[in-house]
Amino acid sequence: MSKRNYNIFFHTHTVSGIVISVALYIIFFAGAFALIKDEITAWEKGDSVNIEQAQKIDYNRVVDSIKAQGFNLYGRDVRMIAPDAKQKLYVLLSKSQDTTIVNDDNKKYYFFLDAVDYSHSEYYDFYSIGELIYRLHFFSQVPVIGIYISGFIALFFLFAIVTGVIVHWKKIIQNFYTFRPKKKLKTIWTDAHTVLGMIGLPFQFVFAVTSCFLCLSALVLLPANFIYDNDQDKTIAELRPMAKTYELEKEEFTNIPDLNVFMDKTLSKWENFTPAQVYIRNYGATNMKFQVDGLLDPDDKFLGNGRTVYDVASGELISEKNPHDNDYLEDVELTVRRLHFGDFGGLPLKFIYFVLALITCFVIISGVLIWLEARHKKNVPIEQKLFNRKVGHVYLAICLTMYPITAFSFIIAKVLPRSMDSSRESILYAVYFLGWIAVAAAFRFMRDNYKTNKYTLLSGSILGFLIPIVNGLTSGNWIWKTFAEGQYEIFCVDLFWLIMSIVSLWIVLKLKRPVTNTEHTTLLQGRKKDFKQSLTPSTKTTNKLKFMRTKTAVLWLFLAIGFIVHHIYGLFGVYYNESVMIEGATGDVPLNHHLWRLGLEGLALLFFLLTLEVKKSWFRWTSFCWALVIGIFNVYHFVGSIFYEASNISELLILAMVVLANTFLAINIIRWNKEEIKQSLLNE
Amino acid sequence: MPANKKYLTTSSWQRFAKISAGILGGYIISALFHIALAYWLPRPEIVLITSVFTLYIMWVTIIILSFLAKNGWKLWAIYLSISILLSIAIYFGKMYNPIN
Repeated sequence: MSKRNYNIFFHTHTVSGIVISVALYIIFFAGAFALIKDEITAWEKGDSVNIEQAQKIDYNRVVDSIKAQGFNLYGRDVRMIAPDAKQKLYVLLSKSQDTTIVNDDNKKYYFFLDAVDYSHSEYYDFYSIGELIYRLHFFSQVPVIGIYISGFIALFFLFAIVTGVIVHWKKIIQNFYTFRPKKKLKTIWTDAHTVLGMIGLPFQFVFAVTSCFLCLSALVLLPANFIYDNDQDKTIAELRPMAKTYELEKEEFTNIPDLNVFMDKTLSKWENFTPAQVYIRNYGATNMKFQVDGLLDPDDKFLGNGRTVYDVASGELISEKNPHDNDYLEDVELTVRRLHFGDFGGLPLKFIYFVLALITCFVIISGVLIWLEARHKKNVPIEQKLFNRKVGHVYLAICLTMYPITAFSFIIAKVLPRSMDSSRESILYAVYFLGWIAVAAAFRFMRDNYKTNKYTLLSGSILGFLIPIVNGLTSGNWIWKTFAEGQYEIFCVDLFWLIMSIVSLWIVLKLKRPVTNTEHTTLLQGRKKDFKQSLTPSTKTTNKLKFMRTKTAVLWLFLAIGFIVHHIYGLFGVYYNESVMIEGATGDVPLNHHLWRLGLEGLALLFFLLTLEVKKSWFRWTSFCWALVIGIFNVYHFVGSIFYEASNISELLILAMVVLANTFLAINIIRWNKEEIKQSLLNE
Repeated sequence: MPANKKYLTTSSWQRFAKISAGILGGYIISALFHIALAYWLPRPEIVLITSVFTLYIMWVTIIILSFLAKNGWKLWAIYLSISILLSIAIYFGKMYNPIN
């Protein structure tokens, strides 16, 4: 490989790796726990788990129970996902295909049914910490675009993996056996990064590719839809036989026979066949179908998915996929899912996945540390050094604090009484995310990566040891008891935490500060000296400063006007095509709308005013932070509007302008800040 | 040990051209390639289901290759001509081997 190509690959590997590192770390760390999310839910609830029993579902009772909730099932597709450690049947109701029926609640629904007593519970009735971490795994807390963000992170992760392999290719075998822990810090990180990166390589490659599909499937469907002339139903019927729908025959079919018969027929066909999903399609119509999708025991066959579709009226089997026969078309997607979710080897395999995910976390962190160490040299300008340090402190603080905050949230989740289920979601969100921000900020300003590492590991380990104890104290599920009773789902969560804690404690005990930490103030003083040397007093700077302040103020004003104009454009619909905007409007403006306008328009105007008068350091930083926050919000809002109101061109335009102004504003504040610092140094 | 700057792109327009060609052009080419294959190979659904992983691998490969280009605008020209060629293949594929 030519020197040029090597350097290009090396550079792209570094840049792509650094850019995605924090998000990728969060994805992998959360992903490690997402593997056992159902076990975590079971652990949190503390009720004993009996999957064998939960699998025996009475589908007549299911239907009766759904109807008893007041749902009109006619023309709907009912999709049921078999109970797992959660002991709940997950039910999804599609919209009714019958559009002539006057049915004011013709929406999609999803909820849980208890696998034993068929009682109804809403999806969010019990919001588990497992669910929270699972959703964090693909940034689902960021509305609409979160999953696409994680998809693109996966794509660039794939990029980083491939370029990494290319860069190391020549010496891949020697480097694999190289570990020099006694040498200087950078060689330790480099060796660990290369070796662990190699060990995790197949796993990481599989994850990158499969998550691209899982998060960005729209990009695969686009070409497929083109081929089938934008007929989505046809595309799906061709590519995903399990999701095939049938056009509704508009004749009601009243005496619905026993549905369990179809399940019994299916189960008697193949040994070791476990239903995973059951569909009742076109409920109550003459062409009603009962479809069972299931899997063979993964020990018998890795790709053993089978299916039966029965016509309910005639009782005939109209389509069948034998799980013992392979079919490329169906197996691809199953392979992708199996490999991603690691659900084919039971808990031992999940444990291996868990360890590999944590190894990947280490590879990510060591990559950041190499980047830092490689730029911590004498010939690097102080300004650059300060910037690099900041990046390092922020990155490590965000990543490493995830461990103790996760452990802490587990304890909170276990201590929260069931009587608080209704506010469980918001409490867990507050504890997890606000706590995380607070702890990360504290470590960031400690400005010492060694301490960040040591204390996050130590606190995570202590909290981790507390988890099985808290579990025992609150629910009586002591670790030896759950093991003896065969409650492996509950047992494994405690065990995971014990192992995590022991390993991290062991690492803490082994930790030694390898190099002395450079004091922040020394660097700041160095920068001061550099500044003074490079500057000569002139009146020009003062003029420049005034100009920059005016510019910043004008940009704030532009933002404020932008927000106001946006609100006016948002009302366009009322003038031209809608009579009432919001359901339940009383004529009074609700308080939160006032708050929104105060927060956006009011604050922008306030910053405009203050920029003209105040130039203190705290003010400059506050303005910068607020400009960043609304910047993120504006970008998000702009992207959201493209999806939801693409026809409102004037609003889209003003939103785009606001985003642009916001970008200029943030850049300008930073420049102004620098200029002020220079000026104050001169005057000293 | 950071990469030697001598070999890297310095102009930000060039960088923009390469990155955009890689990401945007990369996706367009991989999507068109799979559509064209689906028309010219016997079973289109097999091609399409395979694309759930090959599309992303091909996309990333094109992104990586884009960075090797000396001139980002020439790269865009190359990618555009590949896209046009693939579109022609799709056009005739649709004519001679229509799918349903």
